[in-house]
Amino acid sequence: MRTTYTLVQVALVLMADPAAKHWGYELGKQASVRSGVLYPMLTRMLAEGWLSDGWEDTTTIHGRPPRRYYQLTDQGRLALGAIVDKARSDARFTNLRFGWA
Amino acid sequence: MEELIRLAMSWQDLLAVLGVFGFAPGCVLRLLVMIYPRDNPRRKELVAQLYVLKRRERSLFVAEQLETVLFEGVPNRVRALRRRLARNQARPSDDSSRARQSIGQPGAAMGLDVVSALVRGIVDYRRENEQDNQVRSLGPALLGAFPWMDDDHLIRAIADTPSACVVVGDQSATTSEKLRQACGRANGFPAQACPGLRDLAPSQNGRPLVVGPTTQVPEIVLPTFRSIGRTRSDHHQAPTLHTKMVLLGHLWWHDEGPLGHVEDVIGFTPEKLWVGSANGIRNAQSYWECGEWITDPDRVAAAHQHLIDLIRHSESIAAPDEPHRPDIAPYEFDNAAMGEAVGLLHAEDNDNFSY
Repeated sequence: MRTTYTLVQVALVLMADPAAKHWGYELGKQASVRSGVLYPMLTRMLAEGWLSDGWEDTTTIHGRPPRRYYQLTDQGRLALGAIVDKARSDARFTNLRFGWA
Repeated sequence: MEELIRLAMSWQDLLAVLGVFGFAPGCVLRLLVMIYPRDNPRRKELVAQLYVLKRRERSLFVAEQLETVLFEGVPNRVRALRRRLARNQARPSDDSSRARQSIGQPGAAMGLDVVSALVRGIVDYRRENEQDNQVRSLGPALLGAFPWMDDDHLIRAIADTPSACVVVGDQSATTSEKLRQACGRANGFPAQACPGLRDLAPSQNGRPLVVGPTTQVPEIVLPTFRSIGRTRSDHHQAPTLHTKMVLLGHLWWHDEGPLGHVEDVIGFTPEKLWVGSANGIRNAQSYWECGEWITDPDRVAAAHQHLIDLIRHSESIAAPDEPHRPDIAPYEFDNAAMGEAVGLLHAEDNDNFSY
């Protein structure tokens, strides 16, 4: 995948908590990426094997349909870690916050 | 957004938009997501997301999904339509030309990226059958064999299938490690589902399990990837695997034993067979290959039997420095103990009869 500004933004949010389950809309809000850009990107990440997906456990929710979650795979951690690492030294991404270590 | 609304719309239009998006966001979103193909999970995902949001956020969310649907849903729909058209065009109209049909069938793939067609077939089959919530179905299942296997997409597609067992040839240390890791996150395949595998049990120090009158034979779940063709301990080379096939089907269960008593019975019904020239490797893209999905029941049944034979001769993928030691083998009976038990049973019967 091409290292774009939005990819780095999404990568930063995902890598902030690599073991967490991420919901599409929340992920978009945290990364400040529009749904129209985010969802196709998530599809590409799934195809690359960087993310795995699943559905919320129906026994834990009431009165609404289960949401789809995304979770980083080991392969995804390596790939996105490398992207973020590269982005740190790239002048295009200097205004992003690389808060996580 | 606000600026756009101010520029592009009159106040009547704005009221109409607010009316639709504000009062019936769920309805509008359901209509929007219908642009996605029927089996696309985004349909359910976006609707589910809507109901987590606060009411005041919902109309904006729906408006935002217009872009998602335009940039993702429409291309998906176009691709699905193209696929359907291609399938319809490829479907032979003349029954007399059966010899040519195999080339023109929708499941045939030829060229430089045949493994991708295989992966697509597996993923599509899984999605179709996972959504098809049949009663007493345990979901899609897969058996297969490849001499070489290192394609990440194929490994993932196999590992994501709810039940799968694929026999591979002797692999490099790196690939073996990759396959072992995939086994760790996949479900494997229950041996009980195939009659030809039901007599298998975990070996005891490399020897078959010996079953006595009180032995509980454990039910085994075969790991998703197994290997065949490693050098045997007696220094004779085992026959080399050269089969390249994938068999898709579904697992089912019922609770009536063969004698009418209550017993959990599971089975595997094969449906669709992939036979091709390509190994399951990344480099297959550099070779001119061919492959085909077949549903002919006789060929599917023959492939099923062949794969069972391969699984029976397979072993777990061990680390390269580990010695060869078969982990499963057909169990054997302790005839002496069995005879003794039968004798005791007879004696008991005779005692009861004398009353």
